[in-house]
Amino acid sequence: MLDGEEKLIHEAIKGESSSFGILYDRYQPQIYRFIYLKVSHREEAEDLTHQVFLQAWKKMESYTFQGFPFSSWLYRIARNQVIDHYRTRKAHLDIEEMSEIKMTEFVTSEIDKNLDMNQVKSAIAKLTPEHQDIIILRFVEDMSPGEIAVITGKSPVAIRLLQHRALKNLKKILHANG
Amino acid sequence: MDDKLIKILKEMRTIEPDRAFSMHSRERIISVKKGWAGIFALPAMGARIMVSAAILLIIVTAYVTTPTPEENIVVKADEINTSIQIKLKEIEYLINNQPVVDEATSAKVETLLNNTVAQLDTSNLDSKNPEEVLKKIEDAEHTLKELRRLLKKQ
Repeated sequence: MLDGEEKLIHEAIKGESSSFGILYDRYQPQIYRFIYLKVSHREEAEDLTHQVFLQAWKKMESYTFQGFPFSSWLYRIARNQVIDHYRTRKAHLDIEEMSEIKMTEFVTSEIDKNLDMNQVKSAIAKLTPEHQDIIILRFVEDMSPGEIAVITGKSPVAIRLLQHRALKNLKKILHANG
Repeated sequence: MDDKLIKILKEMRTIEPDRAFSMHSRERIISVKKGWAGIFALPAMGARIMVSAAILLIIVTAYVTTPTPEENIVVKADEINTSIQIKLKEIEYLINNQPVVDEATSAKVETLLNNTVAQLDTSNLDSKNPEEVLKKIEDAEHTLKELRRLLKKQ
């Protein structure tokens, strides 16, 4: 937990909006990034990020410190928000089908040359939600398997295994797209 | 490949939300527990639109509190309503902080604002059919997106 954060959380729980505002400033960019990389659409990411913090502010009274970073609570809300978003809009791809796409093995040098951020963003959007979480939290946000385990409710060992699978799938998608 | 991919993934940490959105989202969230009064203190140009949005909020809330078979439509309407509220705040910000705009753009902005007001008009939304209401709300959201794009181009 960052310096002074416990105090801010305590004040926010008591309804101190300025304290929640500081927490918002601290975590909103990374929550936005997490959602944006999952939904791959700026406006949808903005709306969902707003919802996450609105929900967090409304639920602040029920927040109890359990030794985990405050951000892990926000990430959990964000994950549920994205799931609900796809559920209500019914516009999601068949994720299971997506994960089972049979892609041929590839020569890595072929996709090396032109690989850029947009390609990687598109590829992340095609991963399963679980693999998206791992790629974003582990490689973009540079979190430890332990931190990711708290957010996802899995064990650190499972996160390490998933990390390899997620990366492998990401590369397969990049190859198939490239 | 791995190195390059990992490098790109790390670079994604530079992705940040739009500043105007962040500012208004923050303001709006924090105002929730302080009441809604401050939200409607608006410049003349946006006043009518915001009043309509407030009415929309009430209408959507009314549907939400009435359990009906159209629950999915209600959830969607509520979601769009939230999206509309955010866009309105951002548009308000853009209008207030806009440098001088040319006449043609000004006319377009006014037309789009009037369209939104019409789409969110109470009598327009006073329908027994939730699907019709949803369609009108969606149209309003679409118009606001267009308006925001126009203002951001300036």
